[in-house]
Formats: sequence, structure tokens, C-alpha cells
Amino acid sequence: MGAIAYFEEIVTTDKRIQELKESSQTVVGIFCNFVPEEVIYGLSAIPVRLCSGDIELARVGEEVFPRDVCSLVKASVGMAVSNNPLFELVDLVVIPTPCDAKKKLCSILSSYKQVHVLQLPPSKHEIEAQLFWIEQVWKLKSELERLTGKKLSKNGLKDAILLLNSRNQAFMRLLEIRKLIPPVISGKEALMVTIASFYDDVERWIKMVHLLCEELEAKYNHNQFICDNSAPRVLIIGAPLIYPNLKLMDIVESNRAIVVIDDLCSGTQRLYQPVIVKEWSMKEMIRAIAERTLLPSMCPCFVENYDRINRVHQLVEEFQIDGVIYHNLRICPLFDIESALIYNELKRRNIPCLVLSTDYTYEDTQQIRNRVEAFFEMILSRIAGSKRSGYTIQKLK
Amino acid sequence: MWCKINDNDVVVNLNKQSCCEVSLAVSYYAGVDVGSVSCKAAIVDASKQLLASAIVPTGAYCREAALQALSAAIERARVNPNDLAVVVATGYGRDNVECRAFSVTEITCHAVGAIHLFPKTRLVIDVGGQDCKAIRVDERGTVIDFVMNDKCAAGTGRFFEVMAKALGIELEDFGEISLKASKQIKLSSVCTVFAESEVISLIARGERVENILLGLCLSAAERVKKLAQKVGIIEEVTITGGVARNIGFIEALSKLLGVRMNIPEEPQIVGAIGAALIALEKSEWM
Repeated sequence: MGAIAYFEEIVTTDKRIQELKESSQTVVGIFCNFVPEEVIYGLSAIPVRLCSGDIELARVGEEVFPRDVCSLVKASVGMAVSNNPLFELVDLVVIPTPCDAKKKLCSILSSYKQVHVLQLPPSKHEIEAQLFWIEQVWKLKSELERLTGKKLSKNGLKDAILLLNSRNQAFMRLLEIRKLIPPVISGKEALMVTIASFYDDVERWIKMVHLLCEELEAKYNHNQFICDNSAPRVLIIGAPLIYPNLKLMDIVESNRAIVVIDDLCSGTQRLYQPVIVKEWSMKEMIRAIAERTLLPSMCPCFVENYDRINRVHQLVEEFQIDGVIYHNLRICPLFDIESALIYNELKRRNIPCLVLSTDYTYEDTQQIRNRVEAFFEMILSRIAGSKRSGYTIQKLK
Repeated sequence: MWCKINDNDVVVNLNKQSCCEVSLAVSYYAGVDVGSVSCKAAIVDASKQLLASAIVPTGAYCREAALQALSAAIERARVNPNDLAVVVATGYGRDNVECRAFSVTEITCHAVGAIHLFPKTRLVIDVGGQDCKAIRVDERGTVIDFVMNDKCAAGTGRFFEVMAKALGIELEDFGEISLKASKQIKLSSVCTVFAESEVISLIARGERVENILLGLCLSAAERVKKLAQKVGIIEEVTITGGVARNIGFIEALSKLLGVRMNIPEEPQIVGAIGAALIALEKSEWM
């Protein structure tokens, strides 16, 4: 079995659910990208991310939640209502509060499970906001200690930090491979890898990512590319794409283009930053963990988000991007509002950008396909001949 | 069954020489635009001259409708179907055109068609049956940027169709009647469904039909203007698509944008012409 097949198995089957059922460890359900997993691992508990891309769960969620709430939050409600096996497993749910729907999700889910709310500050750059967030991480630590009946030790937390930093290293190795031209891994496959990290055994996941990297390096050295270097190289940003909602990814990659990188909270944003600790004291470790979960976030929930455009620009340069696709999740005003800012800024920098608004349903597949195809026609006519020939293909060591 | 084809709508420009000559070198290029409401076909010769075009309703069988449009255009152009070198399909049903060499989206085709008809075009506004788009092009006819309406039907052909029905008038007369308006009514909704109920309440209030029609043209134009603003309003502006035949809408939009617009003789077939021109261009290296 190739490494990709492994990640697909984790994402698409109940293999992992069975393993978790059989284990005696405490399982903590988390939402979003803000929950510091280090604290959970430090107490020998296992985090599983509950964010779902399931249209059926979203439909079920509509029975409890209003229709005009985004598919993502409705699917989360649907998980609770429909006795979803993953949701059933968790002993505690930790929910950050980036938006109104997530805030209200806390009260809905509390009638099904024990819930801990992680209050997010409205800004991430102000010192008061950062101190507030550090305080929230301390609070989470106490809550988890109560839940597990253990005390978080310095060594326990240090080991967890080192473990997750080695996860970050494995992920960065994969990111380097994704820079190669022509590409050896599709965006959909890469997304499967990050989504598998939502609930997979972390040590096994790290091992498999290294195995995947070795496979991909071998493919590159044997010229086994998944497409030639004329395929438009795409960066997807905006609202998260979560299994099984891979509509956008499928449309893009079935049109002879390749998603070489994303900046989604379900994808790259989740894993690209390590925890940087200056000394191994509890206080400093908690601070460093808080920093890791807050600062790299590109969530549009914050008042100021000027670092996002720089991050996008940096990815465009590093990954030699031909066009950016901004994914708007319907009914999420935050992503919608920021899409105009990003679109105008990219336009000013002469980077092609396509904004697509969609949700988990399939009714607009044809319209989305049409926009995506036209976008690639536009890109191909822009880059016709010129830029590609300048690309150099270097062999891996 | 040949569907209604208005003779006045078709530009038949027969190239006598190429017809009479029994030459092997004569090739023609066709574009078929399978839209949500109608299928359009256009045939050009190697000198980019439009020979003929045809429009048939799409209906439920777009595969057949596409063929009908193409054969009607072939017949009108009086060319031998075997001399068709390349057929390019566009429009939402483009992948149902069996004889196509390849498909191109209508965004690219409208840009190419508009630039061909009006070479100074920099902004193309296409208002079709189920969507509208604003396309920025450079001097070579290359698309630089484009936006399309969301999946709702506000400000599209469908919008006008539904409103014409609610007001009991023919769609063809929509624009003409609206020009007779004596006052401006501001409609609060652009959503096709809500605007229809608003129209019904306006009728109940005793508002005159022409005034309501003008209000509808303004509200659709408002919507299209917002779309155009996203890519930037820059002259010259060419409008394409079936809704361009609604003079009331055109006048309202022209006023809102503050520019004079190029209106093709047959705004509906611009996409098909673009497809045919792409067929010609691509044939050179096929």
C-alpha cells in the first residue's frame, strides 16, 4: 500500500474510529485551528478535530440550527444530533469562538457533551489580546487536568511540544516537495494528508508522511510527474475544504490544473508553524504554544489581517503560482468581506485571482466549473510560452 | 423542425468566389454556443468574415438543439458541411456538442467575439439567459479579469422573462414599452422571486405597466453595474447576450455607467462568433 492510500484510508474509513474505541485514552474533540493540541497530548489525551465537510450532516444540523448558518457549523451540529460515531467517542469538546455561529454552537453542543469554550480575542497583534489568549490556554490546561485527573508536568508538555514540532518538520518536508515543477503530488492528495492529521495517531502520521516524501522524491527522480509543467499552478485560500467536501478541489484538478499549495485552516495553515520555546519552563511553554495557535492563523475573524496578504504573496512567489482561487463559504460574512480586500490587493499586484462562493451542496457544480475553466483559459493566455520556459528542473539529491 | 429563425437577424455574406470555385483549399470554421435559453451557431471563413448564423431555442435537448443551430447556419451560409474544418463549442452545454474539436468557455468566446466586432473594446458585459458577466480584455482580446453573478438569476434574461410574464407582456416588447414610462419606480429587490412579488403588489397598487418596466430595467442595470465595477469600468464597453436587445435596459445601464456602449447588430451570436474565430485561429496549429 502506498503512503497516499494510507492517508485515504484514515480519512474515508472508520479504521481510526475503531482504534480510538479500543483505546482507553481520553479523547478530546476540537474545532478550528486554535486549540493547542500540545496541552492535550501533554496529558496523554488524544485530540480529534471534529470540523466536518459532510452535506448530509449539514442537512441534519438544519433541524436544530437556522438555515442561514454556514454548512461547516451546521455539519458540526449535525454530528451531535445524528449520533455520529466520532462525536460519540469524545469526552470533552473544546470550541474556540471565532464567529457568531461557533459561539452559539457551544450552547447547542453542551446539551450533548461537556463543552469547554476557548474565548478568542478580537485582535491578534495587540499585547492585551495576546495576554488574554495566553490566559485562555492556562484555563484550558486546568480544564483538561480536571477531565483527566492528572497534573500537566513540565516534561509531559515538553515531550508533546517536541512531538508536534516533529510533525511540523515532516509537513515542511512535504511542502518542499510540493514546490517541485513538474509536480509529483496533487492538491487533493496533499489535502488528504492534512485532513488525516485531524484524527490520526500522530506518531504513525509522522512516519507515513516521511514515507510519502521518500516515495515522491523517488517519483521525481524517475520523472513520474502527475502532469507536465504547462498545467496552471494554483493556490487555494479562504474558507476550509474538509472531507468529503472536495468539490472545488476536484473541479480545479479535473481541469488540467494543479493545486500546489493552499492556505486553508484545514490544510497548510494547520501545520506549517512549529512551537518556538526559549526555555523549558511551564510559563514559557504555555506562552509559546499560545503564540503558535494565534499568530499564524489567517482566520478572517480578527480585526486586522494585514499579514494575510503578505502570506499569500509569499506563497505565490515560493510556489510559483499562476493564479489564486479564493474559496468563500456561503453565509460566512467574514470570508466574504475579506475576499474583496484580497481580490483587489492581488489585482493591484497583477496576480490573477478568482473568488468563488459555494457551500457543501452540489447544485452549483456546473457554474463553478465554468468559472474555473474560464479562469484557466485566462491564465494560460497570460503565461503562454513566456514564463514556463524559464523554469528550471533540478534533480533531488 | 427548424425553429423560428428570423431572416432579418441573419447576416448572409456569401463569398461568391469560394462558392463557385471547385477548390480544395476552401475551409470554414464554426462556433456553436449552447446557452441556457438558446443555441447559437456562427460560420466564418478564413478571412474572419461572418458567413451566416442561426439561433434556435435550447429546450430540454441541447445536443439536438446544437446540431440544429449548426445545420441551419451551414444551410444559410450555403457551404458544404465537409468544408467545415474546425467546430468549437462554447456555452454551458458545450460538452454536448459532439462534432466539436474542443470546448472553450463563453467568457473567452465573448471576449474574442466582441474584440472582433469592436476592436477598441476593453470591457465586455454579457447578459445571458441565466448569468451575467463582466470581462476585461486587453488590446489583443486576451481576458485580463472577469466576474460573474452569483448563482441567483437577478438581472439576467430569466429575470426579464419572469417579469414580462407577471405583467402579461411579450418579452420582445419589454424595452420599447419601458421607454414610455412617465415616472421612475424604485424596486427594492433584485431577486427574481422577490421582485416578482413586488411587481405584483405594484400592479395591485395601480402602477402603470411602463413605469414598472422601467423600474425593473433600472434595478437589473444597477446589479450589472455593480458587477462591472468589480473589474473596472473602462471604455469602450461592448454589450453582448440576448438581454442587449432590451433597449430599456441598455439605456438604463448606459446612463448608470456613464459611457456609450457598443451594441452588436446581433448581440446573441457574439459568443458563437468568438468560438468560430477561435476555431480559425487554433486550426493554424492543429
